Amino acid sequence: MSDPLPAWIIAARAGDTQAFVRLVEACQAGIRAYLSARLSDRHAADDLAQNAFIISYRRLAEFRDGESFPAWVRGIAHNLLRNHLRSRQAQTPTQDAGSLSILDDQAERMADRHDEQRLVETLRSCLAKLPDDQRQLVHARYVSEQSIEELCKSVGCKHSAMTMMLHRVRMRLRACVNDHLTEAAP
Amino acid sequence: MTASRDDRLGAWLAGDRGQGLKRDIARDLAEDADFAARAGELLVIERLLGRATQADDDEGAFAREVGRQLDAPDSGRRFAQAVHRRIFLPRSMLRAAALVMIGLLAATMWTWHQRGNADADADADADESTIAILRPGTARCELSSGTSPGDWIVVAGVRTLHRRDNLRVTDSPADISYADGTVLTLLPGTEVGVDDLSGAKNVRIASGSLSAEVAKQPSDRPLVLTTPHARVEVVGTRFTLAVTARDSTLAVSDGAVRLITGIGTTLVARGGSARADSEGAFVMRTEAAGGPVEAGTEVVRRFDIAAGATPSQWSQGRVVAKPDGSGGNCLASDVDEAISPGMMAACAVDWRSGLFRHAADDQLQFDMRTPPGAERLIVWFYDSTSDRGFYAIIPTPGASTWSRATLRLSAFAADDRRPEGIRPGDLLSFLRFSVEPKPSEPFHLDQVRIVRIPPPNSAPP
Repeated sequence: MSDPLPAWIIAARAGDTQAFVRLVEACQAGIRAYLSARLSDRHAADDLAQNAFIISYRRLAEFRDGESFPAWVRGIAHNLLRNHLRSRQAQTPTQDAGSLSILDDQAERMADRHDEQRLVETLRSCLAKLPDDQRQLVHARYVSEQSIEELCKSVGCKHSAMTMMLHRVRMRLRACVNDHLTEAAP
Repeated sequence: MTASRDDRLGAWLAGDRGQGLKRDIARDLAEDADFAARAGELLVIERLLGRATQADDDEGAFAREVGRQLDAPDSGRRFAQAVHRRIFLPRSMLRAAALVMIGLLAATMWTWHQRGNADADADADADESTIAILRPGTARCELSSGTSPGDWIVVAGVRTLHRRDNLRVTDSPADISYADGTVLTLLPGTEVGVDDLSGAKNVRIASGSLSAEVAKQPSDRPLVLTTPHARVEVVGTRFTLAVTARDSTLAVSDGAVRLITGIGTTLVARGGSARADSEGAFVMRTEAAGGPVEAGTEVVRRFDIAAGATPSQWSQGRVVAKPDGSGGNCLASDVDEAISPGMMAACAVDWRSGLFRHAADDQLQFDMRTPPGAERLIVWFYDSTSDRGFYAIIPTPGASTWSRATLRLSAFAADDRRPEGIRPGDLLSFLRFSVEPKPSEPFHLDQVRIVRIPPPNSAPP
């Protein structure tokens, strides 16, 4: 079947918000992954993604038919992200402990090299391969959003031991993701 | 014991934010480029873990939330309500009254500010200029204005309509009259939104039916009617448009109307009708097949499919049933294109000089009569230039009546799922029609042709 996006765009341009909701459903994963890879706060990333879609709805008249709609929204999201990072920089003093620009730059390079949505999908398949105890830890930390202190209490370990346990999970996932991406490379 | 680089990075990624830790990690990253690259990858993993562990239903919830925000009353009013809630908290009534005044003033100024911003965005915000007149007659009409969407008020008597006004008619018909004499008659149960985009009349039909008598419109600014399934462009004619949740049906009684969906465009002429479904596919019914045809290049003259295998008139290729009954082949010179047993097919082929070269905006047009049981028609082209196949699927009318379909070639999907479509100049050598599931009676095709529409404003030949 051919791409349904153009028909939804036509309907959304005429004010059909339900057609636009379908567009959002089709494109949101990539936009949210793009922003999530560049922001430490997942909820802030989702807020920006939501704003990006709302702005794109208001500016649908400017969208040129035949171009990629997800790429267009991604451009809007990119501008919002830039403004968000700028305003955060302006609001926080230079001695702020919350940012480490070198690390952010490295992360940006990694995200630029790969399609973020594909990274999320690869990460999902790697999560399924984790041993049970590590998968449960990931669930407690990222789904139940438990703090390190809560995790320490339930597992019975020190703060530093817990941060290291989580770090080992990340390293395992990183190795798995890199293997997948290397295998898939042409 | 001294913490290692990975200990420090692990603590940082887990959320520890000490100035000493930050200084140490900054030094670690500066000293070792490999470590810095690895740390960047781990940070991306950390950030995406939240996304990767999200449940699937979150995606639908996210989209619905965007929709809810778009449908919500304007944020200026919400701000005013928030101020209103806050200002009644103080104990002193006097102080409360003063705060009410300040709050209202702030809300008003904020609303003005918002309106200014919106105007600066040059978006289609509501303005006060009249675009049409509503004549409800005896009908009960409800109006939701562009400046306060969602607030429905009952309308009695003639009144002006402005940009982004929404209207619903609950009992007898009501008319929308434009200054140029165009009249849209909304039938009971119809809900529409009106707008004016750069001088072009624009009507969105959410549900219901309307009939229209349209005065001649400027060719570059046609009256545009949009339904959830299609867009209808009208230059001047009489027609009716019925919209349900499932599809939109257009019937033209005078002139011609162009129906546009995500799949293609078709021109519905006097006496014809067309239906577009939620997938964007459409079928067109004409009063009689084989009537006057538009200028175009005929590729295939005419053929019928008998017993699912052999076209009776076919100048370029023929479908031959396999002796074992496992289907058929499309045969022409050195061609042996397999037809699966689950389909009934017809084909055209010319490997030497090709059937035709594709030009931008080329449309494949044909009339068909499909028997009950055939649910979809698949049209498939082989592009010799790119060595790739392209296809389009349309639902069949499901009755033994003739219908006409017009498909834009540039909207055909690629077999290999690559995004690039058929390019202008490509040589198309093979064309196959097939219906599925295989019906018990034959299906018929007629007037198969490529319609080449000259670009707008081009000089006549």
